Amino acid sequence: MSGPVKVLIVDDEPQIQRFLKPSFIASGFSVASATSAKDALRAFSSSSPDVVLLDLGLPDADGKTVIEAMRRTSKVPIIVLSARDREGEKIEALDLGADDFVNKPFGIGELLARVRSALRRTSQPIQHGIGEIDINGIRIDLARHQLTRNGVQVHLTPKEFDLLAMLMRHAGRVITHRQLLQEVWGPANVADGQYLRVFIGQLRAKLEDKPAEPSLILTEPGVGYRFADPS
Amino acid sequence: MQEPDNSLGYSPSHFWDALPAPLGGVRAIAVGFGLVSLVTIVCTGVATWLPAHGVAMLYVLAVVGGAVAFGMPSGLAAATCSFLAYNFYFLDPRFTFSIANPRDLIALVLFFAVAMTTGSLAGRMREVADEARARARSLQSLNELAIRLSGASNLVGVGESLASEAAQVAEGDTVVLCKRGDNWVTVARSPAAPQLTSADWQAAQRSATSQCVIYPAVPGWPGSVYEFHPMIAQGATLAVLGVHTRVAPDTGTEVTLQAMVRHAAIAMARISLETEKVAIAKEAEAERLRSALLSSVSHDIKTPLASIEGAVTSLRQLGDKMPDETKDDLLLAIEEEAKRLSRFVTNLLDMSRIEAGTPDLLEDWIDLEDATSASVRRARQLMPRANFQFESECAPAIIRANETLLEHVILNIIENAAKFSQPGTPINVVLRRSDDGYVLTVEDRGTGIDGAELPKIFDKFFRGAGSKAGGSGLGLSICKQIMEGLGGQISAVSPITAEGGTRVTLVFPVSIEAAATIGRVA
Repeated sequence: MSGPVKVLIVDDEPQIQRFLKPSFIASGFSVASATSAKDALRAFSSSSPDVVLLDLGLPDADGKTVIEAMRRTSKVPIIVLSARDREGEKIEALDLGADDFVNKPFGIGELLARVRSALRRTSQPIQHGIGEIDINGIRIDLARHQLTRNGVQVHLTPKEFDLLAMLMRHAGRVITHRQLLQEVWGPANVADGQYLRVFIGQLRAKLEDKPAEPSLILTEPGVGYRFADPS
Repeated sequence: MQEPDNSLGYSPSHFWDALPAPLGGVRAIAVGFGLVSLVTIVCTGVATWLPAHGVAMLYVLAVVGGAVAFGMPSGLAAATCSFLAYNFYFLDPRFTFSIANPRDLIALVLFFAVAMTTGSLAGRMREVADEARARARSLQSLNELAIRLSGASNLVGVGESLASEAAQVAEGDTVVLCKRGDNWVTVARSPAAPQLTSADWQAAQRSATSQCVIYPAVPGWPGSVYEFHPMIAQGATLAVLGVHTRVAPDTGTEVTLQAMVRHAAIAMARISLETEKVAIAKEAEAERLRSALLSSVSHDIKTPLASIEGAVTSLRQLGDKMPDETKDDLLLAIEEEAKRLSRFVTNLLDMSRIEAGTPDLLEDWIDLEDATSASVRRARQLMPRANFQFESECAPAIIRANETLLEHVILNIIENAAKFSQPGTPINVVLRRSDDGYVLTVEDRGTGIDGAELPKIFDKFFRGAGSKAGGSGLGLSICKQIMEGLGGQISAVSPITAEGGTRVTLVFPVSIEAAATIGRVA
């Protein structure tokens, strides 16, 4: 990547743009802004940003249509800005291909961290299938179906392994319940949220220092789970 | 039986309707005697060329005619008279009751048997026809009542329909009584119904509590002159029908009356259910309004909070890397958003007052000019880049209103005008007096409102295509609600020039009291 990282900020509230723009500039990004879905898609094709911040409540169209349109041509990280109480909206956005979300109101530090994490994932894509992932002392060998925690082997059932592998492959990124169920249990089981709760509980019992206060597999209430960022 | 019955479907021109009522007793015998005398005179006159059995046929005709026209007793009387007259005048030896020829005796006996049978059959036919006619009339009345009841929208309507239809059926007077709170009141009455005495009221209440028909006292004895029918639906007595007739009603009438009472009770039950349904729908609407209001308000509060938190964290974490003017702008943003937030909270409180029920919208004397200029001042603070122009042609403009809600309306309209205009273009706020009252107009030079959207802008939950996201579409509808509560009107015209622009007009009625007050002060 040459030159400053380009961020496209799509939000119809001028007051949000007002602090986001100088903050990203001060953090070394170059910034493009859009206040409507139409503007956003135009700026997206003309400035080809490296990361997109998207508010879902746009005046001219549902923000989700913007995600769909962008995903047709690009894998650029899209981070959704949304109110805390709009779980349904966030889930839909993530299922449509958004990478992450930040609840409004947010501190600039949190947002910048999410943006960096998303950028890191795209610049060093973790290979799917064969390979090893090592995050925070958890080392997963995808080929041999083996897991070690701080060098000690941990036994996982095949479903536990698949679930953990899915979370670790997308470490730092939120995966919706639906995405996890579909990937691990298959499309017929997307409504069976109870499986997920049970298996997440088992994984935490095996991996976390304090399963009641997890630091590796984090819950995003109402949305899904996130494997702690490698940073 | 020649009552005027011009009701639909049942024609008075029917043959049976032209007939007199059946006779009984002495009058029946007189009619039978008269008919037979007539036939006898005719037969005597034409006896020279009439065969002997022809005379008998004519007598049978008299019997049938008598039975059909005047009822069975007349027919039987005619049969007996014919038997005697035939014997006396036409059988040898004539003008005696003795009979010479034994064959004549057999003929006479046969004649008598035929006459009696024919008379009773014809009379029976007459009775059946009468019954059918009565049933048709009763069905007709029930039908008419049903039609009237289906159109009735309140208890009084049901009462009036029942009172007038029942009065026709019973051929008397009727009253319909209903319980209002703890007292029984007259809901409807036929025009000539006698005034209710305390005995009548007591009988009515007895009927309501026992849920039985209470019959009138025997004439000459103390007690009610009305017959009371309770109107019962789902186990409760909803009303009581009182019927007053001079003749005792027959069984058919009684059955019809009871059917009518049941019809009316069902209609009353329907109306009370409808009233309940309307109340429930109203409740649901209020609930919907409340939740829409909540989501609108929560958006209005969250956006400034997000801006403030974002700007503060940006300043703290990245302030060192920002130029001074950026830092100043972020501080200004924080100040503005804090103000915006505090205004939303005030609005929220205003709205919760409207939501809490019916606030006393007319609680205070307000100078409309003063209120408008205060709102314009506030709008200038909130939107420093907008160009508000205020002129007033009347001072003071005293109206009855609630100050907070009034300001809510005016500020909302002014702000709307500014939101849809380019910064700097004038927004003219003009207050003047007209025949209708005080007229406040707010004109902008914005893009105007789409013709298709214009009629809907005051509807609840309507949001124009160009309006901001997250708005609930309630602002203008709340304004309209408040204006209606104040007895005023709100309307919008757009575009007002070739370039666009919108004019919103608020009309406030001039209170007569206020005019008087000003007169006294001046």
